[in-house]
Amino acid sequence: MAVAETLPAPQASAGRGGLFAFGNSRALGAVMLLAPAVLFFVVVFVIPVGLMIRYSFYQQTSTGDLTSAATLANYVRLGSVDLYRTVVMTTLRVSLWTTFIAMLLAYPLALVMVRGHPLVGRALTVIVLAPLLINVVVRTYAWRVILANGENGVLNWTLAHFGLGPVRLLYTEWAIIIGSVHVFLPMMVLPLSAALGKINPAVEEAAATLGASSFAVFRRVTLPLSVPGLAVGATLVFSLTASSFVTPALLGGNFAKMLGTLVEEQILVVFDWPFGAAIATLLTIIVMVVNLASVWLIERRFPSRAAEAG
Amino acid sequence: MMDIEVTNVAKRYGTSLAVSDVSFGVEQGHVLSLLGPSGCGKTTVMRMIAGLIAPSAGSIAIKGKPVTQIPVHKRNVGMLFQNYALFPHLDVAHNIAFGLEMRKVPKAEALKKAEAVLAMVRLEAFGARYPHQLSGGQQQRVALARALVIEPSVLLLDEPFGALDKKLRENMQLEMRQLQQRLGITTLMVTHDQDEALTLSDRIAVMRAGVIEQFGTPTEIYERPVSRFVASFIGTSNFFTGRVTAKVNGGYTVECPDGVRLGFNGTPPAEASVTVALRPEGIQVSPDAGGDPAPNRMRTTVEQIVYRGLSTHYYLRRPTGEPLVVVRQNDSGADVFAGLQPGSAVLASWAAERNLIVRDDA
Repeated sequence: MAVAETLPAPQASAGRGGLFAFGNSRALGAVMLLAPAVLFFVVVFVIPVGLMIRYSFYQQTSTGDLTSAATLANYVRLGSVDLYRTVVMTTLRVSLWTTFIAMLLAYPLALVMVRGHPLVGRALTVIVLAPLLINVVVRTYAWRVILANGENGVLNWTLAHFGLGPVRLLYTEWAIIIGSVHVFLPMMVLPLSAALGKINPAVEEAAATLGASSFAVFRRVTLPLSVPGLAVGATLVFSLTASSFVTPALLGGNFAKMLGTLVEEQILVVFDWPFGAAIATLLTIIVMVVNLASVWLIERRFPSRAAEAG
Repeated sequence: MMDIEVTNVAKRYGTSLAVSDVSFGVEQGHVLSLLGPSGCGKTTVMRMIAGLIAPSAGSIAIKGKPVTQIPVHKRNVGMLFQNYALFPHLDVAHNIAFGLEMRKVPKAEALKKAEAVLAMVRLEAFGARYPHQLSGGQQQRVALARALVIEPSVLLLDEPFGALDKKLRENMQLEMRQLQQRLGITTLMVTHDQDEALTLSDRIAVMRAGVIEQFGTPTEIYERPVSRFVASFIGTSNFFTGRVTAKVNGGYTVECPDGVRLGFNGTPPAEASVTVALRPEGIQVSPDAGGDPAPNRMRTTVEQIVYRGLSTHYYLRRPTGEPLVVVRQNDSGADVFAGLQPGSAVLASWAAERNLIVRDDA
């Protein structure tokens, strides 16, 4: 069995002690503990993704059959057709804006949650988590009502009362961004407040006694120490936004398409599974690269803290 | 000249008074310890001097300059925090250079100065390490270097040795005292550890429930405690309460309800009823030979003997059942103590000047 071969030989580890001295039984215990999750992921994630990637190298003939020879044609098409390039750029742009805006909104929220009165903190947590309790379709339709173009939209109707507007938001990238920020804000706030909560207040006080103004304390101490939480939040929000489907489909419609909507279209409308698989693969790669890049950035910037595990 | 002057300072949290009407001064070059149990307000006083919290009343001056309205980052105080509070994301050199950078010292110069201060605390080779890679003692030295490099007006130490083990703590205390005297920097220390306060201080302010109970030199605090609280918080004491009865030639006697009589020299106090503290090391023990019940003598029974290396503690019991603690240095050879064991009847006696009249505030 492959797993057994990677374990250190018992005689080599026996005398060493410490963290890396897995005894045979400890290693076995670790394998047993990991097995259910690993099995689950292999079945529901690794195998399907493998199949998806394999599909993406086939092509569909005019009769609906799949060619058997592997080809890069789908990827060439993705890269060379303007429409698809636009969709990739839209996806990146919407995801980045959503992440950035969520950061700006989440930081003060998380600060109050962590440093403010405990009751206020608890109330804010509930409010921040509330969007997750509402079905995504219901929530997104509500945004459609609010953002609707013309005088029927709640927002435009309100603006008109003040002699402003109208603004065109529905079926634009901004509608998707607004909807996405709303849903994914908790994914930014929670890791960020966890990171802020771990900062020893005495460290900030020490900076103040050393001559740092409140702003300097924030810039030189609080912000850098919260980067790990910020990075986790950013990764979550970016990944979820980039791969979301319902929000772009209902708020972006045909005018602001993202990769998620494009995949659905290829699979369910056009029935071009190989091309749909290629788009999905590209999406997976984008999300993975962002994840790895952020982990790499945190590790490089905060090697000590990562090693300390908090 | 007073380098720190605290005048009628109070701190109120809602309806509770954490510090009430505290006044004291720290002379230039002195170490003053605020000593007291947790919750006595000593840390609050220090944080008000640092500027981390604002007093509800009163005023504070550092080096003759009123600072009550000046924010913390402009007070130029060097503060050593209880758990050192080093910046975990900066290496040692940058931790130390932080205060200089805040003072607009060019980065290269700041790092050069940091190196010099690291040498002062004997950590030359550690500039590139991160705080979590250092031991507790090393972290404390870095924190000290970081506080000293800005050439602060005063140094504030918040329970500085609490997190160190005993041996290291004693070494660091000596090292800190030498450094403080060499630099001549006025220092205020907060501690709940009486040994630490006695070892390091020029003056001690004993605090209790938001007020200063006694202010004096370590010798005064230990040898002339003014209250029952001070006598029991710094060192240990046996206590008696009784009435001033007879005036004898050149002195007077205090008689306790259980018949014990305490003889004093000098003039009797105004009060009729007094509390008397008696340090355990001032009591002698001898075989019970019976005889007259003279003042400052008491027949007791040995209850427990605890050998502590440098000294031995004898827990005696008075006929009335109350305890009497005697401490004896283990510095002499065979004597009357040798044959003692639990159950032995012994005579405890002490000199008149060992009796200290204290305020009863228990």
